[in-house]
Amino acid sequence: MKGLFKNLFKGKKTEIYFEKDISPDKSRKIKKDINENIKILNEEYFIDCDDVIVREFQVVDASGKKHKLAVVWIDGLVDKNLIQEHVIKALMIFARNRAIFHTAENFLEQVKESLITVADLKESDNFGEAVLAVLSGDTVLLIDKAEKNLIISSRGWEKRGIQEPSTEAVIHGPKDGFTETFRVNVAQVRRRIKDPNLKVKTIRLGRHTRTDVAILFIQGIANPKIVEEFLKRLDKVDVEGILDAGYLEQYIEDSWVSPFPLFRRTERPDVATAALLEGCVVLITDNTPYALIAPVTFWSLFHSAEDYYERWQIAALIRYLRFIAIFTATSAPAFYVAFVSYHPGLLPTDLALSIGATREGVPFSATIEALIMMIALELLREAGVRLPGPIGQTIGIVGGLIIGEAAVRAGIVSPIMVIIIAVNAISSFAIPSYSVAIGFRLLTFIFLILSSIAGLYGITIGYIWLTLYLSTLKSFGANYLDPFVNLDPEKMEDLIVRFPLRYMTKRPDFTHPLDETTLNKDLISKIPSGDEDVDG
Amino acid sequence: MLMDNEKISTRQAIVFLISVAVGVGILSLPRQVDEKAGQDGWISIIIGGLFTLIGSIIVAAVVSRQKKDVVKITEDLMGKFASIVVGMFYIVYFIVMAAVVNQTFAEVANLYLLENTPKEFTIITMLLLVFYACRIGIEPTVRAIMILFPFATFLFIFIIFTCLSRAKIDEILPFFSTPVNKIFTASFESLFSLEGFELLLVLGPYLRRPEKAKKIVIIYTEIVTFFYVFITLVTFMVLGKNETKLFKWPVFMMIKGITAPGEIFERMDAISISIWVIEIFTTVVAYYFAEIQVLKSLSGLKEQRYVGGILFPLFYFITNMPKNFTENQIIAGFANYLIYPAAFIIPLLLYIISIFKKRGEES
Repeated sequence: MKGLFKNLFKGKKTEIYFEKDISPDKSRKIKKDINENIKILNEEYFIDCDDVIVREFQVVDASGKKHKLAVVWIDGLVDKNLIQEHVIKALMIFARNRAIFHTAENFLEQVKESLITVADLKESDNFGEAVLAVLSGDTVLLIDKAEKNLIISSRGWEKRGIQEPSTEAVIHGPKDGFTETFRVNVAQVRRRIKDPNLKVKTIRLGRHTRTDVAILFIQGIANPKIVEEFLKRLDKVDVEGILDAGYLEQYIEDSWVSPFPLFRRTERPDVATAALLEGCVVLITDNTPYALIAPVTFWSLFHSAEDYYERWQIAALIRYLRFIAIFTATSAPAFYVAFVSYHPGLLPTDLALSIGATREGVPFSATIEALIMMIALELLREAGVRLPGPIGQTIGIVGGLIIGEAAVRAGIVSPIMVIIIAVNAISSFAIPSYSVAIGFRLLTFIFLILSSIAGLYGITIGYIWLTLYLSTLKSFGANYLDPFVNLDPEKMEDLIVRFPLRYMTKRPDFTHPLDETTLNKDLISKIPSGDEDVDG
Repeated sequence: MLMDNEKISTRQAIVFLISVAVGVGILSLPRQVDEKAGQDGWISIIIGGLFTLIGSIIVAAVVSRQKKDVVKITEDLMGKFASIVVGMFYIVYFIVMAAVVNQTFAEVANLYLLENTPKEFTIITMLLLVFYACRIGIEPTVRAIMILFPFATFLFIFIIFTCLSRAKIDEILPFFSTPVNKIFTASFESLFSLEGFELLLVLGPYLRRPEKAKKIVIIYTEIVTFFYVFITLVTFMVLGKNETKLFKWPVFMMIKGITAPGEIFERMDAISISIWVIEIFTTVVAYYFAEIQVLKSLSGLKEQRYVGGILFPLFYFITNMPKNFTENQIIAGFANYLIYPAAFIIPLLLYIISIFKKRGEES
């Protein structure tokens, strides 16, 4: 049966790309004659690329012998000062009449070892690597008769500095965030984990964009199976371009149907570091000011960095607030509709009467009322995001105050409905992860419809369905609803109550870490009593 | 699979089995035992719990020896023909149980929750949910139950606790005022609510550690018995020993009478029923799965999705059969008799034969 369907619908497979050409083609070697090399570069690779600059110059050695050289770079991508000062000046002025270079190899060696004063430099003998280096912002130094070129790391484009993360602001805690620059992002994580076990594997993805993607994990903690799975999936990402890590996320996630993210996004290097220490794998993508973390569980999306920086009681209280926020963000309007339309008898009499009084003169049913307000709110939110900062805020005020008030005055909605929708919207923004919050906005509509069909029963059905659906999700081998699905008290230390740090002795289970313990329990327990010195 | 976390762990199996047992019984058990044993009904439940313990340990012994489902075990021990007979019996049994539960649920929902909605609607939505659950497979469903069931039960017990303010202890005093034989007959009534352990017979192949089945059933029996004794005691103390038997659903009558603490809600009945829907779902889904598993083993089919689809109209039809509560009670009485062979006699037989044939023993 299945085979029949497969045959029926199997169209002709069209392969856009026959082979990967992301990694440089190393087969084409550099020629001996520099003029020939420049010609190849200019007329084969960089034809019509007006931003590529080829600067030819000469070095005269003590014997009067002329050595022809050329530097190739892309204007705007390189640190021009570095090229001028440390490559061209170093060679043209300081190398002049300095020694006698007998052969081209000898010259190359001298240039490499004692003339050029840049930090990062490597040798290459083919066009593929050279072209890719130029495109990535490096500078290529061609030397006549050497059959080799030097790749000088000179990346220095205009970039945004490190700023405070805008969507994950904290009151206490580090204020640096990821930026669009790949190396800076990786370095920010590396700066926090000074351990050679932090491994950074870099690959390039995207045929045209050739985006750098780094896979970060800590050897000895992260489960090698997960790392392997990551590499396997990334290897299959054969696409035109990766403009943002969001592309990558959607290509390699476990389920593309899910409205909830199966990766955790963070703008904060400290969160990424914490995830690495938990045994997760972190993906840092070029041009993306956030990192992707996997495996991830549903509950870990509700954690914020500050949960761990503040005292545990406060963190626990905030956790509870977030659980309530999940609840109201999904079903506050649905409950209103259920109570008003189906079970008014459940409400306290006074409240029922006052709701009845405010709904007097409202022409629509509670469901339509809720839908009007929810759609209006979504529109306002979308408009607020699109407009520049100050105007966006104005839209918020205009929408929230004026339209809400006017709608109530005009008798289109009841004031209690406005409260319900406001609570609903506020709760969805109280969830730390934005991508989860927008998933909940979607669910609100589904729950509203269910409740308008079958009241409280519909809402319960909705929650059962949601739990069933979430329990099918997996993120790199981790159950999405872990660790609730095991009800193991030992694994609950970071869930309902964030345990005092000294009792959080184990890594979470869902990452299947190789090393479970996180701290030396015996020593830590001696701290308050102060007899550590006596014992030691 | 990337990680081996698909199979059902021991803790998951415990919660799953408890979720099967906690279901319709919540509503009617106090009335049933009150009818037969009066104020000592709760003692009957404890005795019923002892019977459950014996039966469930036998089931656990069978499962931990053979590590297969009941059809395969029978085939292994007594041959193909016997396995077909046993399989057919369990098909009837599971379908009747599921139908009774679903029917009772529709009845209650119709009475307290959705007065004007036809019963067919509640039945079919519940079956659709169950159908979805069986499409995604037993392991994800068990994981979902691990969240749904403790949450629902916690809320339910919380609601019951709020009733305690009206409890009068003298309603159940003195103990043992009923003749012992009546207490014993009432304990058979309680079996319908307490059972659920026979699902272990089909759960065998999905367990991560089937050898721990005994631990599963012992904890299961303790918690279920305690839960039902608690609910019955509270109902007796709040409603009164003579009044409990007058109501069709005494527990809901009790909940209906109270106002939520802080007067957030005027009444709690609709809310408690909405929570109770979860308990019903966990029960029906377990029987549906059991049915699929038995059919799968009998027919040798692999794809449970198709089997589940075939069963859907059948479940719907049988659930819709009784036209009113009285007819439903007749079927429930019939189901009560099916429990003895399904949960006690057949497992005992299998156990004895497996000892004689020395199957499944550790070498």
